[in-house]
Amino acid sequence: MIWLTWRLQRLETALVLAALALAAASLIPLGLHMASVYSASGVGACLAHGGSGCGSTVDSFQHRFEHAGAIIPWLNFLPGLIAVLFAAPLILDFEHGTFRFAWTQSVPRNRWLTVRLTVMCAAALLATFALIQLMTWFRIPLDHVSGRMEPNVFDFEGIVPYAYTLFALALVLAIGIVTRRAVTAAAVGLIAYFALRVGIQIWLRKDLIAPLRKVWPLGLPGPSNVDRAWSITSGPSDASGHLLRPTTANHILALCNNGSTKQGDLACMRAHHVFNLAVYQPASRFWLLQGIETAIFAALAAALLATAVWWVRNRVS
Amino acid sequence: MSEFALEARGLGKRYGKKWALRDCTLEIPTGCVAALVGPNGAGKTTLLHLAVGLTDATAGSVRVLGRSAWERPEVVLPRLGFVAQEHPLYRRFRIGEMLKAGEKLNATWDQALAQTRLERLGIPLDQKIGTLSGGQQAQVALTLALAKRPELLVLDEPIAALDPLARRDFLKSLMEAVADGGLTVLLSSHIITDLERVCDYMILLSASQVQLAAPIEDIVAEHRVLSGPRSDPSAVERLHSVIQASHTDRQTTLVVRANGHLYDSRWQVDEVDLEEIVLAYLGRSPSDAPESQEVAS
Repeated sequence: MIWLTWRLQRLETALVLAALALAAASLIPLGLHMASVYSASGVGACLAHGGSGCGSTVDSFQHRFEHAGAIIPWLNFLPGLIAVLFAAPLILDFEHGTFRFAWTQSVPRNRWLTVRLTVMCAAALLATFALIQLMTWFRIPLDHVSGRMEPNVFDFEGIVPYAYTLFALALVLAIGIVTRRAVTAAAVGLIAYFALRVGIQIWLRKDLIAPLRKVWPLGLPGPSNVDRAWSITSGPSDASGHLLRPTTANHILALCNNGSTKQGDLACMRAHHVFNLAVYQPASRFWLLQGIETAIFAALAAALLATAVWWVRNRVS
Repeated sequence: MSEFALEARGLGKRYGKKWALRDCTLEIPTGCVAALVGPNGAGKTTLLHLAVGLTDATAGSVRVLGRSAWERPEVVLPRLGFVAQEHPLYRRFRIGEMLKAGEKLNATWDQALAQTRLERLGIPLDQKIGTLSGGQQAQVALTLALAKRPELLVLDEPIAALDPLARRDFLKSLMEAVADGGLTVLLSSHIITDLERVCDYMILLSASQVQLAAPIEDIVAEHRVLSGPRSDPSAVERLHSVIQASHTDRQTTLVVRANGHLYDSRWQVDEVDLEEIVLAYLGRSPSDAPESQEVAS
């Protein structure tokens, strides 16, 4: 049974490994380079102890590397790709009717289903593990500088990627088992997966816990935990924390930017009651937010997987 | 060993509101080669799937080799060989890997039998399944079923998709396997030609019900075609079952299942071959069928 399961997904496993190798090949050289710049330019020491000129050192490092690795947004497709590839062999069993061959050998179908699902999920989780390791290693210097709360970082670290992969896997599998069409399952499943995944990232994640909201006078240092946080809204505001409308902000800026000293400009703006607003999720909430989002996707995955199993047991013959 | 390789009692299967098979009672004696005949959609596949435990019954029961394959798969499956319709095989596998799959999935597995058989058929083990012709795929599927050394071999439309030559080869190699002994075969087909040479028992399924289940010899012996001047067949009907009556302006022809000796000076009595008998049964409208009833819903 194990041999058969492996043989049936050998090609798909090779494709997943190739995709992971491609990601590694583009990220590892860049990661090594970034790590050497990080230690050579003293960014690490700056972050630890501070010092003169540290602000510009850290800023220039951040500017140089934060958007390096053009491949990274594309890696969002990997959990979906992993799911489609590992679900495909089982769906093809139903599309081609070969499950009837398997179910009339001497292995009872419950065992057949258990082994197939276990190996499939284990393989998908293992591939996700590799992706998380790669991304987390690559991001070590950047995570020190800018944290791991922002989208495209949060989604690749911690535990939430496992839930993404399992959810996509269960979704594609459930569609595939009901329709008995692998291509339909891959297309519909991936669209639905990305819709939900991006939808939750854009509209739900920031409010999973009420974000912090801080208002402070212009020219003073902000709250310390705003560093490495996920900034949801920030900008000039009034004293009660309402963002200034752009026209108002520009008007005050034009009024105060009268060529005198920086201090003078600031004083002018303060006189016009301009404050700083930051709405953000601090870095300390990383694991809490990870846990909640993981639970959401894992619960959906479990429900879909249960549906698929029920369907196989009761609706397939 | 049970006297019957397959016994169905009041067996029925309903999908939604439609009965795919209804009130099916039949026995297939051990050691025979039985043909399950009927038009497409008659319920043949449903009956076979119920028998091998791919699906469970809505009504009644079916036992193969004395047990229910649905309830006791671990007991029945090792003694059963099944080739599903269109003989599904893993397309990306080489034939050798397909055999390995059979070996891994079965406690009893006769690798030597499988290899010898394929060698004799000239099918190389390192060839990919996807590159085989339909006839070769059917032969590989049959080989996989036979290598389990089954007591009952169930084949769903094994020859439907084959060209006449491949069909003949397939039936020939099936007969060789039967000749080796100890095997009961149940095969479904909507093609009647060729079956008479291979099978000695026939089950006729039409409109989701069993119309006929008997040794082919008996079926042929019991049925006669009567022809004579145009007349009302009700006199014949009193003694015998009229399966089909057809009239022209001057002549009436009846296909009859004789109840004992049939002699009537008004009719010319002739033997009738199996294919004509089957067609006579299939030509009946469902309302002529015995024990017909409305679909319970």
